Amino acid sequence: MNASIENRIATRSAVISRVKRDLIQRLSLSYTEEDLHEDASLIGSGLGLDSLDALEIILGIEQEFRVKIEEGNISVLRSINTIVDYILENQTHPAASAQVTEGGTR
Amino acid sequence: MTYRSPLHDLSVSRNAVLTSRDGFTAVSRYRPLEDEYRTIREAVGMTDFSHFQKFCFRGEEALYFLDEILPANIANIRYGRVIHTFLADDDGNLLSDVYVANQDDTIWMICESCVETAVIEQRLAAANSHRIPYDHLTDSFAAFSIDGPQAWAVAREMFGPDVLGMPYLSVELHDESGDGIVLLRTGKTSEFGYLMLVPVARCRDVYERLLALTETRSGAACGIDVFDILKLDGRFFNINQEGRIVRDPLTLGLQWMIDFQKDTYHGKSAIDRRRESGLTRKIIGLKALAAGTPMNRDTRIVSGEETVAEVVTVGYSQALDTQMALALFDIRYAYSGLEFIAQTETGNVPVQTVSLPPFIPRSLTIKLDEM
Amino acid sequence: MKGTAEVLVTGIGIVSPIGNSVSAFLNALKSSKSGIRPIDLFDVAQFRSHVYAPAHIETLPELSDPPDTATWDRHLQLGYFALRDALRDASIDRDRIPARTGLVCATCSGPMLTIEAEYLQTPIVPGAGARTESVYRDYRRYYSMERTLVRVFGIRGFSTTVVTACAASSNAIGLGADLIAEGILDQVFVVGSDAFSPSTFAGFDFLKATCISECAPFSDPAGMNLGEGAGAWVLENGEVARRRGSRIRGRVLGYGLSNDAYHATAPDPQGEGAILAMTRAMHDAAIDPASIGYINAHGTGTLPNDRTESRAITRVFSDRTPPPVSSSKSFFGHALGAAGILEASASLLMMNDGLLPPTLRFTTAREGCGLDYVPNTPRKTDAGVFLSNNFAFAGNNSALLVGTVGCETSSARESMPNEVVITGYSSLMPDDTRDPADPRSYTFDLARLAQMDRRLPLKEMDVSSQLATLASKRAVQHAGLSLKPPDARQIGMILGLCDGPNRGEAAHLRSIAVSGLSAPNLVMFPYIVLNSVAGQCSRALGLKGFSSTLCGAPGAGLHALIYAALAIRRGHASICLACGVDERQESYVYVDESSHADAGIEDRPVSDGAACLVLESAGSAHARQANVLGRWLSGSSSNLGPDRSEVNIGREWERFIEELGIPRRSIAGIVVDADYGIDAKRIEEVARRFSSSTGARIISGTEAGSARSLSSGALRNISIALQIPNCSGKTVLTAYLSSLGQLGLIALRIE
Repeated sequence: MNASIENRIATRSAVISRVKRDLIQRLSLSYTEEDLHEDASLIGSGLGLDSLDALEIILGIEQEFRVKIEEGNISVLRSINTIVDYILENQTHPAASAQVTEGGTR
Repeated sequence: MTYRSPLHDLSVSRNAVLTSRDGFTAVSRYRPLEDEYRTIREAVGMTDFSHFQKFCFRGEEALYFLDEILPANIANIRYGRVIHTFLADDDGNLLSDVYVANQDDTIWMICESCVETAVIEQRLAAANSHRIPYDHLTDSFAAFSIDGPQAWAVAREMFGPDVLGMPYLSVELHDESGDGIVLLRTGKTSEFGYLMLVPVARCRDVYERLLALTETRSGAACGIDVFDILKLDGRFFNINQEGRIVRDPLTLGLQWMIDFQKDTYHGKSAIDRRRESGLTRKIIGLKALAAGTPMNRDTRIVSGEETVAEVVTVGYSQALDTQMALALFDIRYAYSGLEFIAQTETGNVPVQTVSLPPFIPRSLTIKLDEM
Repeated sequence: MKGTAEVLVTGIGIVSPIGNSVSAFLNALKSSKSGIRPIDLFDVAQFRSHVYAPAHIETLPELSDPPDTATWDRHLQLGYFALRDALRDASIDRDRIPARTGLVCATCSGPMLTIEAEYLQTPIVPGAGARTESVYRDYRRYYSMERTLVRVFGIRGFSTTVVTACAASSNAIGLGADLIAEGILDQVFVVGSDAFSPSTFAGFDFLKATCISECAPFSDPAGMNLGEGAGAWVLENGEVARRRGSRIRGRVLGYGLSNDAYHATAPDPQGEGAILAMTRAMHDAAIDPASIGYINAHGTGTLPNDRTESRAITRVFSDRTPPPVSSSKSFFGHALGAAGILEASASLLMMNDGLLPPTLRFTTAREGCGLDYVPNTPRKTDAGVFLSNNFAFAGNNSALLVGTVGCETSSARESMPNEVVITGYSSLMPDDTRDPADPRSYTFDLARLAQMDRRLPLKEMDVSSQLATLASKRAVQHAGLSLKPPDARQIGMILGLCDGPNRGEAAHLRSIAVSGLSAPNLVMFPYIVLNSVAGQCSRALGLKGFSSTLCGAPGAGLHALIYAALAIRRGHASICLACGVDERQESYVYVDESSHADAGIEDRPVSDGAACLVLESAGSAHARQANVLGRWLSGSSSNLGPDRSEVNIGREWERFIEELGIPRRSIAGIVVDADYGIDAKRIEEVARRFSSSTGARIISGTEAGSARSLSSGALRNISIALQIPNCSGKTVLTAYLSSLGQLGLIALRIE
């Protein structure tokens, strides 16, 4: 695998894993991380989450990744992949934030 | 014998282009696919899906029967709700994309299959050791769908303002005018969608009325092939494309259709085995970054020397204005946002894996609750 | 005549963000003075909303009994002052409360400040009355206000606590009115109270339900402001009030309840539940829409509420223009459990002066809100009848109809009460095959419960909700009723709970305790309210009928039964479930004023459990040719006070038999039960003396030594009574004495 792709996969898969863990734990989903396809729809079809779950996901992402999701932004919560895209685009210092998390603030 | 919709002759008289597969003939399209695509993404399209296999069961026993066959938690289905799941064979390979609707203890099972009707019928019969009575209604009921950001308006004109209160995946019986129409709020395009089961005796009249209403909303009759593109860029599972080729629900990302805590359903042991050993390949979406040489099925996707994926299904997305594909990726590379090379028959094309769904459909910006 | 008594409002007490007396409150309403202020209790930088509506209260006086006022939760303090002032307003001597007086309390968050202090070790709001040393004691209970006020004011009749969240206090006024209209009581004190709680604020704020500034219901910006406060009404039988020369402030004409059976927090966008509540209220009061001159809206200010409510009102008034509608929450915020009574007070006091309260900060109407919202300044009116709406988490809806002093509409209904029959029951207890010495044998296994009915979404529920749902479905099936939507939407449900369901509270508050106020658990926050149990049950089964939840420690099941019978008798429902649910919590230690530490008698351990009865009007049962198991003759619940001697129990018993008015010899069986061993002995002794003269057979509700469930026990006793052999055509009694000194007596005729 070439180094550039390997790096990007490492960054992305770390975020995916954190998002999935947070989702499974917050919403008490009976699926494993491997069970959740990153493109599966979250609300309505697919996992069939409701508006309350959506707020909880937003809260989780905002806390876990220190990003702000504007109200009325309907493009973020469509799938795990769209969430991860948003995080990667909006997180200013992903590494710093990861360290804070590992430092045990949560 | 080939199945034909009760509206076959009417469609032919309207210059429909026909298509045949899996023992049925249906309308492929009336107009160029790009036009039908625009109709459904921007207004509303009406489509005859009468070839879907339709079954009707009654009572609690039937729910337990279906629960032993289908991987979702069918026993748990509430009144007025629809569950979206699949039917697999004993090897855990896909046969059908299935809706089960609980309309006050009348249970409707609607199958969109990649096999002939006889196969589905045989499976139901073989599993039915308790002799649960049911009706096979494929021949006696037509099925129409209306899809698009204006579909709600057509449904409201047809069935009254209360249909706007139907949540996604719900079912109602509309019998006020003696039509006996089973109305499902569903849709696999990411636009608003309503699917109707209509008794054959009335289907022509209902079709004409629906089509007239559709046309007042700048809509038109559409064929079934445009749904291949709508499902592709709306990221809905397509049994006729990737489902027919890949057939493993886990590789396809259909885990959400499965209740893994269930004891039995058709194909469970094979699916559980694959789940335990872990996936090696996975379906991911990609788009072409340059115009020109199009990808095909089996086009290889490479990273340097290494082959990382094979294209399963392709289509031109007007929403993204580029060619889109689903490809079966080596799990190590199955991430969106990466650039690769597609080795097409006539040359290399740069491609990028994308997060699906890749655009905001118009229906998502309309709130039916607020009308 | 019994069943048609007029219900008057003869006293009002107010503790609110816009004034602590009737006159101060009224002046603020007349001068459009808002009580919404910046939050100064904690750092609000992390929240959307920075304002709330605080109440200001005086220092509690020293009381001789109970002496521990320093540990009173703030909601209890608020409720105490409201009731004290209502009694003064009604010229009632608090030291001489007549025996036929009851108390119906209402709250949403109840003792949340005390509970917060328990989880957080130190209270978020200093000096809020919360004390960490009261952990696991009386004042962290949702019934603590009722129990304390019963004790402070010496109330001896029926008392309970309505916990239907934001619909609670208008629901409580309705229940109080039913008790008087039925002739059960002469006076009922209704107290609705809630204190502002930071953890609740955080939950609403993170649900994005709060307003970024001072709220503007039906206008912009959308969102609500939280408030706090308490209101108290003295309800009085018309004849008794006139004899006493009471000043009349208004009259309760009727009310309606329903459940959306839709969602934990969001209203059904079609507004079906709201429409059902309003039409049931008009049916109860026997008036048509044309008689309603004003509607005090729930009007929280949120997008979903204001739109749904406006739509529902429009539909209820179908072909005519709805009357003016306004939201008093623009004055004093959303006082949750006190909202209904404060808003009804605002409407009644203003309309008695010929004015409609306005909606403050109304600029332009929001989309979907097309009614007349009485913008910004009071408006003159000569209307005499108003409707007051309240809608709650868990789908509870309440609509209350009240007439002013000068109102011409007669509330005395002509029709006779419906006869009540029992057509089904169910009971759930953990396996008694397991080791009785192992505490785990008193609890259900969550996973196992989830497997008990594959048709129900039990996996998503906490234990209380699982038990309520299973017990209700089984009772409905036992009664031969269908749960198809058209049938289920008519079925009512009154649920009795000992205390809050543990899971929601623990998840939400632990999250806040660990990570601070900015970390509410939004998925579990909606399940912190007690009515979420009936809410989940209603949603799973599609029950949209008359719906309420009562909390009253062990007596709650008994109260649910009495309320369900009232609902049938008064025509609120033709079928109503009475359900009691118990979730064993290690924190349950029922400390009681009269110590039960009498040596030698062991108390049975508390267990999980549920029981449900199907009550039905005789007409409905007859029409569907149902199997009638028993006929309701009478039901009573009274507070014995500190004296729980056999003499005192015997006195209540005799009074009940006398009012029952049937020959003693026709009583063929008695089921006796009590929470404490010592009480069980006393009550059995009273029963034995009674039966020595009548020959009635005595059955112990639960065998000595085995586990007991609390609020479901009283309902289980009824099912035992229905199964006593050789009693057909005879009367059976059940007698139950709760650990809090409430004596319940029920008489049934066996079919």
